[in-house]
Amino acid sequence: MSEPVAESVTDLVLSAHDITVGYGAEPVLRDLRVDLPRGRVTTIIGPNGCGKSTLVRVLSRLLRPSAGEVRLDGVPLQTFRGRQLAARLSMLPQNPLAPEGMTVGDLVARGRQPHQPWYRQWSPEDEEIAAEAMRHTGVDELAEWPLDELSGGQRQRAWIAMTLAQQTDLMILDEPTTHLDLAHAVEVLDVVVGLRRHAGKSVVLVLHDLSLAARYSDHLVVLDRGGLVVEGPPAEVMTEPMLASVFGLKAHVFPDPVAGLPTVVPASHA
Amino acid sequence: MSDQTLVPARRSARRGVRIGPVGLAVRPWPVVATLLGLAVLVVLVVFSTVTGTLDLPLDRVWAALTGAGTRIEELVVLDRRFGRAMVAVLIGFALGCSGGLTQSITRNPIASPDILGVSAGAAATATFILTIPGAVGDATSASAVLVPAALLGGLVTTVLILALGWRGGFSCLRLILVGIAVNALAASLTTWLLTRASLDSAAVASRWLVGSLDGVRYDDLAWLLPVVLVGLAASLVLSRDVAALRLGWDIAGSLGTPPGRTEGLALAVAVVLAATTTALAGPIGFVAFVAPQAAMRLFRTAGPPPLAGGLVGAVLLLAADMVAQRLPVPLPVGVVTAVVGAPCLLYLVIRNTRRASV
Repeated sequence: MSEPVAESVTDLVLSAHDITVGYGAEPVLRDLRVDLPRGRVTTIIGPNGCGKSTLVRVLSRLLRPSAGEVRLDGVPLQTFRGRQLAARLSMLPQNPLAPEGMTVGDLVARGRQPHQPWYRQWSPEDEEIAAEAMRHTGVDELAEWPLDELSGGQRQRAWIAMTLAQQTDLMILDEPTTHLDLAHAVEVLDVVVGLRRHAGKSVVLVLHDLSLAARYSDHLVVLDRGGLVVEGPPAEVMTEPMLASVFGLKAHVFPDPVAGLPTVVPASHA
Repeated sequence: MSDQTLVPARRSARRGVRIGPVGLAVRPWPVVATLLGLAVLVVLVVFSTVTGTLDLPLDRVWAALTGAGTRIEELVVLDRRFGRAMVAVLIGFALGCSGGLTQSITRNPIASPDILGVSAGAAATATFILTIPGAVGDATSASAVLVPAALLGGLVTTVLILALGWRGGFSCLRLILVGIAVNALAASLTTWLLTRASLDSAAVASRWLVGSLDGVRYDDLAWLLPVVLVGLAASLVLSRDVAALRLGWDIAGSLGTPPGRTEGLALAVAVVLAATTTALAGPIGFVAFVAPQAAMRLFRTAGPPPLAGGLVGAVLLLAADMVAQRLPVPLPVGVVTAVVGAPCLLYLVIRNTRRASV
C-alpha cells in the first residue's frame, strides 16, 4: 500500500469525465470527474445522500448519466456489449435480495453467467471457479443451504462469492460490509483486498466505516452533495478538517501504532 | 449479529452433464418431478378419453381414435373427450407459463394475468365482438375473430396496469388494488355490453365469460398449438435472463443481461398466452396464479418457474375440467378453479402481509 498511486492515463482502470446525473439546480451528481487507478483499492466515502450509490451505478453502466462519459480501460462503457462488460466489470449493489429458496451454491454459480453461452450453462470448470469463490469467502460448507435460512453475514458473503465467481478485473462493491460485525467485515475486506494483491484486480468500494476505509484503501474519493471534494491516498485525505467540513464530524485522526494508517476517533461531548 | 449460528455443513452438490459444447446443470429432483408430472398428465388424458357419460367399450374408443369408428363415436371420443382434454392441457400450460413469467419478472406472486385483470380485459373486448350481431359467424370461424380481439384487449389492459401499478417496482398491495380496479372496470364494461346485446348472444357470452371448455373443439388446437409452442420456445430462450432478473434489476444488469428487454419480452409472451386462452375458453381464473406457485414448491425451485408452472397448470386445468364435467350438475371449469384458487390467494396475501409486518 506504500507505492505511489499511478498518475498516467494508461494506469487508470475506470475514469469518469464530467458526469452529471439529474437535472435542474440540484442534480444528484454534478460535473464529477473521478479517475480510478488500476490494480488498486479505491473507496468512495461521503455523508449519507452525497451520491455514492448513484456514482457507483453510473460507473457500472446501470445508470446512464445525463451528461459526461465513463471509460473502462480507455473505452467508453456504452460501446461494450452486455456480457462483454459483465466479464470485465462486476458490481454488487447494496442490500441484494435473493428469491426464496435459492441455495448459496446456485447463487454463486450465477456469477459465471457472463462467461457462458446460452447453450453451456454448466461445466466442470465453472463449478470449480464457483467452489473456489465459496472457499475464499468461507461459505463452501453452506453451499446447499437456502439463503433465507442463513444469517445476514453469511448471506452477504455468499453474494460476494457470486461477484468473485464472475472473475472480473474490476469489482465494484456498494457497502459490502453492511450486516457484518467487525470481525466478519474485516474478513470480507481481507478477501477483497487480497485479490488486489495476488491477482492484480482493481476494486472499488463504498464504505461507511471511515477507519476501515483508511485501512483497506490505496485511494480515497470523498464526495459531498454530488461533487468531488478531494481524492488521494488515505494519509493525505483523511484529515480532521476534511471530516469537519464534509461529514460535520468533530473527530481526532491519528496514525495507528501498527501500520501508521489514519484512524478516526469521534470526539464525544458526553 | 447471528452470524455465529452454527449450521451443519452442506457442501455443493451441483452436478451437470456436458455433451460437446453443450452443458446443463442437472438437479435430480426437478427431473423426477417433471417425469412424474408428465406421467400424471398422460394418465389423466387417457382416463378422460376412455370414460364419459356415453358408455363406450375400449375397442370402440380405439376405433374412433384410429378413424375406424362411427360418426357419433368419433364426435364423442375425438371432439368431446380427447380434443377437449388436449385443449385443457394446452390452455392450462399457457396459463401456468404466463403466470410464471409475470410472477418472476415482478418478483411478486400476486402479479399473474388473472389476478391483475389482463384476462378480464381480454374478455371485455372479446365480449364486445361476441355481442355485435353477425360479427362472429359460425362456430368454426369464431376463433379467428375472438383471438385478435382478446389480444388487443389484453395488451391495452397490460399498459393500463403498468401505468397504474409501476412506482419504481411493484408492491404487493398496490398490485392487488390495481387488480381490483382493473377487474372491476373490465367487468362493468362487459356487463354494459351484455345489457345491450341480443338475448341469444348475451346467453352465449355469459356462458363463455365464466371460463368454460364446453365450447372448445378439436379444431381449436390449430390456434392453441402454435401459440403454446411459441410460448414454450420463448420461455426456454428467456429462462436464464428471467432467472437473473429474479436477483433484482441491478444484479441482472451487472451479470450482462438486459433487464428492461427481458421484462418487456417476458411480459409480451405472457400477455399473448393469457389472451389467447381467454379468446378460446373465456377468462378461467386462478390457474395462472396458482400453478407457478405450486410448481415452485413441488419442484423446489428458487422463484416461480414458467415451464414447470405450465406443466402444473396443464395437470390442474385438466383435472379441474374432469371434476367439473363429472359433478352431478356439470359446472364450467372456471368455477372449479376459483374454488381451488381463491383460498391459495388468501393464504399468500396473509403470509405476505405477515412477512412485511415482521
